[in-house]
Amino acid sequence: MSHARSAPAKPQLLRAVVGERLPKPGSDLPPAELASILEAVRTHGLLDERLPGTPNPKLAEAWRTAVDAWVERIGELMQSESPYSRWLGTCFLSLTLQECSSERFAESYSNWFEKIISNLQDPSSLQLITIVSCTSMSDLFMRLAKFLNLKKEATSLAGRVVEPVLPLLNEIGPVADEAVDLLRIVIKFYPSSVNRYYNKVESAIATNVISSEVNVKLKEKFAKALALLPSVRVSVESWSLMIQKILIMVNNLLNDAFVGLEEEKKGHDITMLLVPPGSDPPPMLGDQRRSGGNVHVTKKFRVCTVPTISGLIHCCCVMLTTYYPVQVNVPVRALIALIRRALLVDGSLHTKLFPSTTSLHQELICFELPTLHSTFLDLLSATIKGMRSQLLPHAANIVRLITKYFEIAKLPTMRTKIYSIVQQLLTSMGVGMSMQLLDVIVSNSVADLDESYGQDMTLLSINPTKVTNGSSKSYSKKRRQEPDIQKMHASGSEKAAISPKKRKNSSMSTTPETTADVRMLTPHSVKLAALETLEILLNVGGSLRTDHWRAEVDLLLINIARSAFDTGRMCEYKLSSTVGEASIAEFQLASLKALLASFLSSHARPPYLAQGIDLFRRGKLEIGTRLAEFCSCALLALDVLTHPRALPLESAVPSGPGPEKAVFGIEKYQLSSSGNQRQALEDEDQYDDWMVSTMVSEPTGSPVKDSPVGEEEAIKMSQDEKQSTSVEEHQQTGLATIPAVIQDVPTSGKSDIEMVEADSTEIVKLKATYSPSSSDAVLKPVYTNPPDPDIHVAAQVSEENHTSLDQLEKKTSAVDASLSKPVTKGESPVDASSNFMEPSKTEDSDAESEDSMPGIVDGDPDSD
Amino acid sequence: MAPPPLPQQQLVLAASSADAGVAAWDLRTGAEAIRHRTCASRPRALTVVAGRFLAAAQAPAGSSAPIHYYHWDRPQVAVKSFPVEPIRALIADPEGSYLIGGGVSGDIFFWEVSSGELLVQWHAHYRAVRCLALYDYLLVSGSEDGSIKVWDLITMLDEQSRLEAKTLHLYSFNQHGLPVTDVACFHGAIAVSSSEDRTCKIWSLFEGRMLRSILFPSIIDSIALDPRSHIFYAGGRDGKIYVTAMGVDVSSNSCDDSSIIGALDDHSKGVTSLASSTDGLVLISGSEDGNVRVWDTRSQQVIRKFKHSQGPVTNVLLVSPKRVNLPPLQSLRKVCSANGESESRAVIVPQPENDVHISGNFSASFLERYLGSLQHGSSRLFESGASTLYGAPNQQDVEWRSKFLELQDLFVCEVLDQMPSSKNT
Repeated sequence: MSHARSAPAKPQLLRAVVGERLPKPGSDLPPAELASILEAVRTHGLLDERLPGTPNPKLAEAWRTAVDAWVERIGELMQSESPYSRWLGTCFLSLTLQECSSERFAESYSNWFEKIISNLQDPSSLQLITIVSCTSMSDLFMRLAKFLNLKKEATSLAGRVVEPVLPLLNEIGPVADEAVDLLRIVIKFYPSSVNRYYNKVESAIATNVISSEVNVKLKEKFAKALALLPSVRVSVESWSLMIQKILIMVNNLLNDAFVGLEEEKKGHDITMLLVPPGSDPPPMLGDQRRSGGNVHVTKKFRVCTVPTISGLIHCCCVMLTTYYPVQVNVPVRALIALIRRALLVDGSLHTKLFPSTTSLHQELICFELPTLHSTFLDLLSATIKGMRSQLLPHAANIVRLITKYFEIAKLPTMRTKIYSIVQQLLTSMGVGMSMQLLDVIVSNSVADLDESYGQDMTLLSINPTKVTNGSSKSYSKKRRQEPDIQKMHASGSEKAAISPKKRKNSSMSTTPETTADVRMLTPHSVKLAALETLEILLNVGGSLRTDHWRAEVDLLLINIARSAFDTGRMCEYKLSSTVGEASIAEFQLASLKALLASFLSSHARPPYLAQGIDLFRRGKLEIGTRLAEFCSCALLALDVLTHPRALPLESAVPSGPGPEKAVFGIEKYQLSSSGNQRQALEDEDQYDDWMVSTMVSEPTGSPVKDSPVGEEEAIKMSQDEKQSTSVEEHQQTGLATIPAVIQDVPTSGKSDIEMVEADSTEIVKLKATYSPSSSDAVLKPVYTNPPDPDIHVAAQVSEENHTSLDQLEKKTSAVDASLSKPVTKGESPVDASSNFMEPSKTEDSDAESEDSMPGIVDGDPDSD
Repeated sequence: MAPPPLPQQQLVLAASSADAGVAAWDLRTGAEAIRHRTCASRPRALTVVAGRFLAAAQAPAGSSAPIHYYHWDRPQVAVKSFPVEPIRALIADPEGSYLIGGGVSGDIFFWEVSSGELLVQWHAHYRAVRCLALYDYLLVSGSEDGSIKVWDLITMLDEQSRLEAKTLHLYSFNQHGLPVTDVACFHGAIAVSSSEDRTCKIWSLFEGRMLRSILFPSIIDSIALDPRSHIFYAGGRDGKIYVTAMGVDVSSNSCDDSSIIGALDDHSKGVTSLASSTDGLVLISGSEDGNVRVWDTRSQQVIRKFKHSQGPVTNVLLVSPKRVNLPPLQSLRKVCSANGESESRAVIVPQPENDVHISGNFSASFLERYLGSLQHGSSRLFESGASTLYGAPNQQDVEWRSKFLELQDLFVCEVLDQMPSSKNT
């Protein structure tokens, strides 16, 4: 009964479609109607023949006959004389073989295959029919690939497709587009079927990759297919041979393009890397005839050379980053040499100029350089991604290349890309890489980000040669010279430039016209990339050589975040119209992310924490945006910093010696997410008090102002001393003002590790599981052993500065003798209490004076 | 309490300085899975190359001290390499691309696994290298001469950078008075070292300085870090495993014992080697008494005990073997290749996660695009053909166009036919 009233069953609907809407052979069907039929069948699932619930033979039978009728009608359509009907039939067939039941598919796939392949083989088929036949064939093989038991049959069918498809690759765009998709599916799922035609397929695809008649998007598809091809022959050689052929071809193309723009023998060197002397060069790739030899010389680069290189390099990128069933060898040296070659051509003529090189040639290649560079940056990125740790022997080479390229890269897209490559490198290689790239990243991102730096920053970019030294050691040298230069110029103006007030003023409100130079036009996309890079640098190596760059970067980040926030709404209109790529919202987000990284990676109490938290709070109110989501996460992360949920330390070890000392409540140990928890142990209230009195905008008393001064003094006193000395000097100047003491002492005086927290209640619980006798045995020797002061000589470790080390040791040993209390404590009582969260400050300093923390004696302020 | 069952097989490996082979026990069942022979390794000389295979530097016997490779499932030595000098310490990088060995003369050897090439070799210490550890690509080496040095591998692997650098090492720590026995690194660029001077010292690799020094009642021979990084285990020569806090506790009255918060005590002889599981629940210890013990770190109980041999156990490891198809392993070269610039062979290891995904529904997406562009009227289908989609010239459009013209004629005729009738009415 219920059936009668329920909606018409699917068989009925399908019958209605076949009867009333499906066209008969030769009849017409408007496209809208066709779309509607396809839609209806798909939405209602009219072909799947799956009945829910209890088996209903009658209904199943009805459905089966209805689908039979549908299939039959499609067969009629496909056999029709009218091309339009055949087209329609193929369209419906493609729908059928996607939607029908598995049983029906397994039953009739070979039948359907024959129908489609006859369309493909028929040279007189209309393009539209060919296209739809290709897509239907693709769908057929996609579905067939899921039937593992039909693998053998499917492979033999796939083998029959290859030959008819090959000529289609040379057809016009739309046909080739679908044909190459079909070919990719065949290569991917039935590689063995292609083996027989390997050379033919390679040549057909490669010809299209290097052809000047194929548009860029289609070229990429061909490149992907070419990259897949080596998997047909699962061997190391086929992959290597392919990439070798491609690189040789690219290298030869570059030879033509870069005549006169670089040293002559570069191309030859790379060829030597690719084809070792004594071995035969591989056959050329593809058919060169279609690569546009007859194109006019003025168009040659634009139409022929550069797109071909792009296509080939894209193929390389895909090969480097996709799965291949066996381990393959990568000619990584040649790859990097090629990348280096392309990226270092900046369009200027090399000194040894050929007489034949005209300025026209130079102009023409300069037009195409951005595209070329972009292509090779993609290749570099793919190399980094594909090679992973194996890039290590070449890492220094890449670092040098990147350092150099930062000088060449002026265009926003190039800078954005090089920044993203730097990010990749930092993430994959970690601390070592950040050590290498630190100075490059800091100088470039600061230059990109800070528009108000004006004179100050031009100083950085004036001396690019220093940046290019590249080696990690050059950093400290450079840095030390720099303030020197600044000082020589005009120390007064330099101070003004660095003072926070000035910076903020210029960046936020007035922006005087004089400083609004070209830098003002740094597009948002570049700034965004620079911010992201800084964020990653802070994450990976935020505590490296902090004295050199952290103060500058921290201040920059808080100012950028504030200005992005405050003037964001105001600027939005203007910026989005001038830039158009990266919205202000993204920029805000990136600036806040970088700010959070700066807070979390800081080894001292972050100087601008209060302002930052204010920003995050305000950001959290922008409900429904990604900004708000991030801000709530950021506040959570900072919560650990501001409100240490670090359990009180005294509970980690019970006060008296005894068996309960054996704390083993592992579940109770707090798993902290970052290595910064020790900051949480500093006295919060004091910090806040200080923050109230000294805002960022105030130049006096701000610790940031101190750091350049400290550095400057360090230079004044000892020009060629080690960087460790500058830390000490820094501290000394820091002592002049109390806020600086609070800030500086934890920097150096704190160990880098998290504190142990354990719950005392847990200890009691676990005591039962621990045998008291054994723990006594453990602990007794611990207590009977008096602390050995000699071992606790804590000395600043400097690389070679042994004299200063000795000095330090002399000074600190005295302190160590008195149970090595923190040196700075004597000078400043504030410091002692600010070290750890303690309910009673006096008690704390007592306890601390008893305690030995040898490692934290960093630098004696009086050592000089 | 046994650890929760893990989906992957975990093996406890142990090697001895006496020739007793490398024993592998299944952590869950406790059964001995295999014993690779022959192997006699000194401490820190057994390593797993990215879970793919085992490598062990042999203690010198007679004139030779080879490095052995073992496959997981075959007891015999797969490949033997003969470095120029006996290797004291051996480690592999996390991806298994490189093997780093520290020699008895104080040299460090850096091999590429895929080719076996010795990429670089440099004199690191005055006396033998006892232990090695990696943090990202910073290499920490501890020596018999008491020094610890930190090397930036990016610099070390590049000739030009080596020449430019003032000193090869990044940092050199000389605070240990006696031979360094073990070193371990942890996130946040922390390194912990142990020495025969009865201390463990904690270093910051970021800042290049010592953070703490902890005095122990006995010489510490091995260190294992808890994955949560706030405590570490120090295996003492007195047979105890000291549970030690990394952080400083200020409230305690005495200086050092505040850090030592407990001890695991079951070994009768010195603990030579420690390994902790990635979840921190299990600690493996090897002792001079020839036994390997598995500890539940929460209950502090020994949950398994394996007898390895009569000789002292020198190395223990806890690994999850990855049984993958390995290309033939190359033996490690003795010397750097002749031209000074060694040719490294970079390879791409098959990574199924990089497999390209091809999305289906070609017809549907094509028809959607195509029909979407045709929604304006029925006649367009005939007029434009595929070229509406791509704007490309279409020679066969002509055929469609002719059909359209025919239809138009028909239509016009129809209209014309109707016109007189409408006029008439």
